[in-house]
Amino acid sequence: MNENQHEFPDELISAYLDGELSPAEKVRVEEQLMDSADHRRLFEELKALRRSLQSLPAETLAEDFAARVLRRAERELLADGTPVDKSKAKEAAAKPVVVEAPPVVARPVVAERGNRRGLVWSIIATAAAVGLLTFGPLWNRPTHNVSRLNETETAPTTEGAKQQAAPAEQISSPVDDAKAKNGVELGGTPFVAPAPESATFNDHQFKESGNRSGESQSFDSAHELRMRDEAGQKAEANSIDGASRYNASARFSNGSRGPANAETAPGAVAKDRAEHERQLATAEKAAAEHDAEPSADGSPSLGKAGIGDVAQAFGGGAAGGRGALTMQTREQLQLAPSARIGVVTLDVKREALAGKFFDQLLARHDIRVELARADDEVEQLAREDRKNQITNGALADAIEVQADAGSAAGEGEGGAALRGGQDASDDLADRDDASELGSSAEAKHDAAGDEHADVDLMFVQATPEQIDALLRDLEAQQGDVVAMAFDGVGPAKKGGLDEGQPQSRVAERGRQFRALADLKQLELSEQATLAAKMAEQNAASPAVGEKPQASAAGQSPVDQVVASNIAEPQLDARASETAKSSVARRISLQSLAQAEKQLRRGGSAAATSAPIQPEPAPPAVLTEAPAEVRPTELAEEAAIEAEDAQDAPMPPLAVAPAVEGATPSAPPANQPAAPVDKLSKAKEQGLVRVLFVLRAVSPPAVEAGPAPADAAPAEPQK
Amino acid sequence: MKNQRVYFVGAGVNEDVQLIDECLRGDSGSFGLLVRKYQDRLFNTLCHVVGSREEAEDVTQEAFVQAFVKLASFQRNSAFYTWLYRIAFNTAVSRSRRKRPQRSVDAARDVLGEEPMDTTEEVTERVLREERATQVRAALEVLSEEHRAILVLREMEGLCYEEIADVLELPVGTVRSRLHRARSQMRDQLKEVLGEYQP
Repeated sequence: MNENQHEFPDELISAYLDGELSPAEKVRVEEQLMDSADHRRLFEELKALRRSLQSLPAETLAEDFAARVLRRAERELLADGTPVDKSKAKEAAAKPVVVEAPPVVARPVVAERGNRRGLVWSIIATAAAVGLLTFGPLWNRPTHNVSRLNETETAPTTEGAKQQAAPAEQISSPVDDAKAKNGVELGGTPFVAPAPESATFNDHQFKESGNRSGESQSFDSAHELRMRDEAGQKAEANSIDGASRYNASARFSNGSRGPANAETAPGAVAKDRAEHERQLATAEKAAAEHDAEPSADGSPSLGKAGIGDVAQAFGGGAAGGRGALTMQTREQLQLAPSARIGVVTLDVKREALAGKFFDQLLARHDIRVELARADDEVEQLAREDRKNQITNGALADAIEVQADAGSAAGEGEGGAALRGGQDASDDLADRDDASELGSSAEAKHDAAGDEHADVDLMFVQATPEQIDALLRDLEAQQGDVVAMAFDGVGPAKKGGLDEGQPQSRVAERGRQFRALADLKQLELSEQATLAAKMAEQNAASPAVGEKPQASAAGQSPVDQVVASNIAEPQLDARASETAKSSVARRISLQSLAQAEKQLRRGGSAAATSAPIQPEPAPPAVLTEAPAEVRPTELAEEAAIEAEDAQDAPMPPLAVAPAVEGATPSAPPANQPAAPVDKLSKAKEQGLVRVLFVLRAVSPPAVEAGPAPADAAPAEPQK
Repeated sequence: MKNQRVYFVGAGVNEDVQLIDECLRGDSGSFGLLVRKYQDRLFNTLCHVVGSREEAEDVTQEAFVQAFVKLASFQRNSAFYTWLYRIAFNTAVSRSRRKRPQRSVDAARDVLGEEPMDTTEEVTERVLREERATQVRAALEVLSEEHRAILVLREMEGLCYEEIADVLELPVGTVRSRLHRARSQMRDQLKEVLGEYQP
């Protein structure tokens, strides 16, 4: 190299290769390359280096990467909003007077993160819908006529099935048992309504709502009843005792239930028509606009009465629940403009769906479908619409997401609202690894078999007016829509319905709220205590299958547990009953699960030595053990149900034999274990059940959220 | 061999802006399209930067998630992918600080070999290509993180100096000098095999 070469920086060669030199530098480099062989060699080597790097094989990601990213991103988004929401939840817990909306939903629909908040909402709404559909009947079973009628007519379901099933069938894992209890094996259709082990808080929650309102009608049970309305009998209203109780009803998040549900239930009518007539009268009083019509077409579904019984309002405050579609809907929605969701369940003719029935209907009302899922068409959808596929991926962890949010929300209504979904998620995850499922519907499908091949899940968001009009159109679409039912869901709105209400009502809600918070705390923090106490009670229990004996103080073990753990003075009698029922169920289910687990592990020795063994000495014969465990649970629940029955007269239960029991340890033989599934009937008739999750969109003014102040990777100022 | 994926399909900055707007209006599917558009490109880059396919996938996912969460704060002073790359590189750096699976120069030399590779005639062309690729990767791993990133962004991503400066938040002059140093180190590492790549 000559002297000029030493002065020449090689860096210029590199930059020349990249075309990043100024014209003057470029001329200089070109001259240097002409003169210097070393630099020419360097230049060639750099070019070869570039080729070598560019020749490396490209790595690619899996096709589902985008969906996974979206799933996780939405979780992150939820978690990201949690700190603020947590504080709101704490505030809500600290202010028991007003039942706040769930913390997450209390924020503007379009907040600082833009409209992605809407997506979060959609997840929560979907999760809530799934929770409703899964646990709806479970929550309400013990307290309501319709649920009981449902159980009665839905031949040996749950409780009955527990006893009637052959012993061999009873040897199932706790998970399987919980599955049976949840009725999930029936296609995930919640038409059978035993209490899930994990749904205690929601059990409280909804029972609370139901007890206070006198009616927490199970949406699915009601729907089933509608399906059963073949004789076109006069609508029966399973309702509350009066408007005052309705007004006092606590509508905790997704726990809102219609105050006046006109249902037709032939079996119930036959057994207790007078009682139902009375209830009908009170229901009409409670909901003036309720226009229950008898089913006239004799269809196995809703018929005219069912369709007339479509939507009322999206919940919140005194609004919500099912009932006639009236102008009240819009008014109520306007009163509670934020975060209202509702679930419309339709049985639609397959041809109508194939003809883009919903697409047309939604387009007519300018309603946007955010999520659409038809399990039996998901693959086709995924291929046809990549965006939808991705979005469905976003839905995939709806249960998981809301479960996370439910956990994070902790105290307060938000956590309570989401808890049910969390339980559902846990339950499903135990069996089918729900976290990997493509959607909540898919989760149910996996958990339940093929039933959900005929269940579509759609999520839409619309203004109250749009929803109102849509439901009216659906009502008019009787040719295609065979049956329809609506459940409104939504939290009370601060500054909305509660404001201006009599203080007594507000205070009532506050008490309910505190009661629920206390109950949740009880469940979360004192499980071990409960189990231990139950073990003690069991040790003192003289016989398997009998209702636990009263203590020296005259209390049953359940009473003692409840009394010792729920000593809040503000809990009124109904709250105590609710707690009692839930605790009893929880204890009994825990005991059952543990007993079965131990039996499966190794027989009587382990079971006997177990600290929380519910029964004194399970037999060594596996096939007999569950039969001895279950009756205890049945007896406990029956005791609770009997107490509940004192408040609301109701037809006999399917589990009546066990309750009145004679010997629960001797289950009736040869009884069908599987309940009748109405979805199957609808399926046989060529119908497709569509779960139509609606979310009311707030007025545009609400969407003007503040700009975010989040710490994001800063963009350089140019 | 999965190779040479087309990253951009009629894509442009305007399309990115449109997708971002749609996403901010609540259509997460639009962000999904952004992910699909850039996922392989980013992943491929990160594979070379972090040296591990698994780690690269994690970083890629993390970067997209962060981008999604922080999308509203994207000021659009730069291209979306530049912003995305910045997130990704910051993520990679922070992760590498947590766990430093640094590969020693000696280990890299073990892969590279001190002597020219024995390229006998019976070795197929495919095997040779793979061997060269292995050597190039090993040489990349020898580089420091900043040199490796800058080299990958330039040679494999084709970013200009200004874009690299944008992503790595460096002055353009630093980019130029670092790039030259990175190339020099790579050239030293691959001296024996670069001839294979010369026409």
